[in-house]
Amino acid sequence: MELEEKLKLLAEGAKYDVSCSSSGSSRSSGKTKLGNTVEAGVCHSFTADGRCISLLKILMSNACIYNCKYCINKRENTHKRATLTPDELCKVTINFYKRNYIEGLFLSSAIVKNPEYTMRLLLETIKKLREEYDFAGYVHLKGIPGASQQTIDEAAKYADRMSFNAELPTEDSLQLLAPEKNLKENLLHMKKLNNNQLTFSKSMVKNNLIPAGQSTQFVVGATDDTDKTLLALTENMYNHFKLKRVYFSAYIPVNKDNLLPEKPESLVRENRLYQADWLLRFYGFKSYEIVGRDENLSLEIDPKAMYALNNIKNFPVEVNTASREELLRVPGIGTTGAYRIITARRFGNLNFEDLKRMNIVLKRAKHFITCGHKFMGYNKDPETLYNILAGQDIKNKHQQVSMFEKPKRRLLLT
Amino acid sequence: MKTLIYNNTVEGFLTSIFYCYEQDEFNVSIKSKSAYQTSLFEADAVEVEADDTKASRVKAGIIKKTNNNLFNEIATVFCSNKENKDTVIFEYLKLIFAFGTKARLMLNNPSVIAYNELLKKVTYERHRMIGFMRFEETKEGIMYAKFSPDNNITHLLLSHFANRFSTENFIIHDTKRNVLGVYSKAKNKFFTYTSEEQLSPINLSSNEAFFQKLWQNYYKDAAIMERENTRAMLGHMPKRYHTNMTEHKAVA
Repeated sequence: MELEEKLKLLAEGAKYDVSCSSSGSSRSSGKTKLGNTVEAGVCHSFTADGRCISLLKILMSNACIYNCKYCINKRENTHKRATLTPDELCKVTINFYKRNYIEGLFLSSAIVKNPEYTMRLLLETIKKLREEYDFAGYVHLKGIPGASQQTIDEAAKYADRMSFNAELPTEDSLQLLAPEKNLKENLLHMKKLNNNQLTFSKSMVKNNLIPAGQSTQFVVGATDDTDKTLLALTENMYNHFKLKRVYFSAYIPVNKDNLLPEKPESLVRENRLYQADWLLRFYGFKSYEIVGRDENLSLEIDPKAMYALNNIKNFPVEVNTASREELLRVPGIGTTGAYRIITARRFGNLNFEDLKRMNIVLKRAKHFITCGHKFMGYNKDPETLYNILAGQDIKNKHQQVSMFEKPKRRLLLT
Repeated sequence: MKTLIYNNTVEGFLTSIFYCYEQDEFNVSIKSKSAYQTSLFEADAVEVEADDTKASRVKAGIIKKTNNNLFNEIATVFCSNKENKDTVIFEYLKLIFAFGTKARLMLNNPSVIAYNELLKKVTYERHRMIGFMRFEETKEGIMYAKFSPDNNITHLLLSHFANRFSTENFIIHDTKRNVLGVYSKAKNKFFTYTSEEQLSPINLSSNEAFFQKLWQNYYKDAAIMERENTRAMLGHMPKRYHTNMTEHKAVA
């Protein structure tokens, strides 16, 4: 098979993995190696679906022995199978990188023969890329659950980031759709790798193990697992395994199976989960605060606004005296907004004009703040505010979503 | 209001600032010669001649009042293509000279806001170009990239690419301003210059077409078409950058 055709098949097979970030690692190239990494990560292009291309996201092989029901590469599917050789993969990576098409490589694979064999194949490739091809750019390597810890640890030495995909948040769901996988094994790999990271960075400060950390991914909407389950597990993984990112991928039907939903999951749900994920990582929220009352996040308004409405007794907060933590809980004020407010108010009291000038969007925030004890919001009734906010939400207006389904909309009562 | 005209260089701009403080005249607008042509009819215009000594005194003053980083930041804002950049920087410097670095934190002050906005525009475009630059391999093995940014950022990009591609000889070419950034791996040095004449046409290496095609295919294959969203794509990667990007060229 020609390289061109292989690349097509293997890129097709890899594109449903959402992670494409190249951030979290900063390394200079030295004089003899090609490439470096940039802390913030770099997007090199954007595909027609609006997602960023940062890394060459590709499978080593799509010839899978597993039969996960939702996966395009499952054993029962009859499409063409291809496997790249390590040299082919290195050459494409180097030549794409030299032309500045990509920030590095995201290498994943279907399970070929068995997990250990597959992990060794990935290890061989990445070792070659680093040592023979002198590549110093970003590499995200997929961990293969079920491979020996020794092989995984060895591979980790060459990667900037590693990820084991959890896929589904409960053993029962996995049993149903991906019977060859189990959650416990996956979590154990993450835990061990995290432990190694800690001991390794203590012993070799300069050359730390997977500097950009670990990430994982969930398929959302293929089973009836709730947002509460997903977010609780997500929170635990951040706390216990020091994961850098958890990705959510709204289910897209690529296979027909009576165990699978016929329709794709709404992108709004995916988006709400990411909003909740941000609240966990940057805003000091706990998962029970976000999905305490209901099993799922509201599709109509964002999780932070929902939190504020459920806790309306804590609002409005006075912008000139509120702490950073309090400001961060105001819908519409983000980390940048909170920083600007706190910095600027050292020189004198702020009024609403100041906030506007500092580009703080008041559309939602005005219902939850006072400025010099002036209140500009509609009122303090959660029910009314819910309707106002739901009517404003950009997701309900510009239907990126409408391709799949029409979300229920409450009428604007006010 | 008096208008000071300078010769488009940083030195000229700094000399104009020297002039203001020397003459004790602060209600002025500062404009570069190229921008001034559009406002020929202003009454009170003074041409300030660039003076290296005066310029370096202002530079030293800024660094003394703040630090080296701020001076570099001002040089970055100076790369902006906005016509009012001179006035924006001058207003900001007035605050810096009056209050020191503390002025940087006055985030609700209109002068500080205007300055930060310009800074953001320039650094954001630099960041974008770090991703969107596309190199082609010439017959001689030199990596050559054309781009046409809004702001004059060639020298701001060079350090990044010199670090990343230290094993390659490369040229980045701002075709809008005809500014070239060159890196030589043997000398491990980079520099920029403005070319007066057109470059002779580039001959591409025999590999080039193959990898360009491969990339164009990959670009298409990576999209999930069930989720097509052109608006988001163009928001992240505006049309004006497409001209020089391999994935948007017609497939050879």
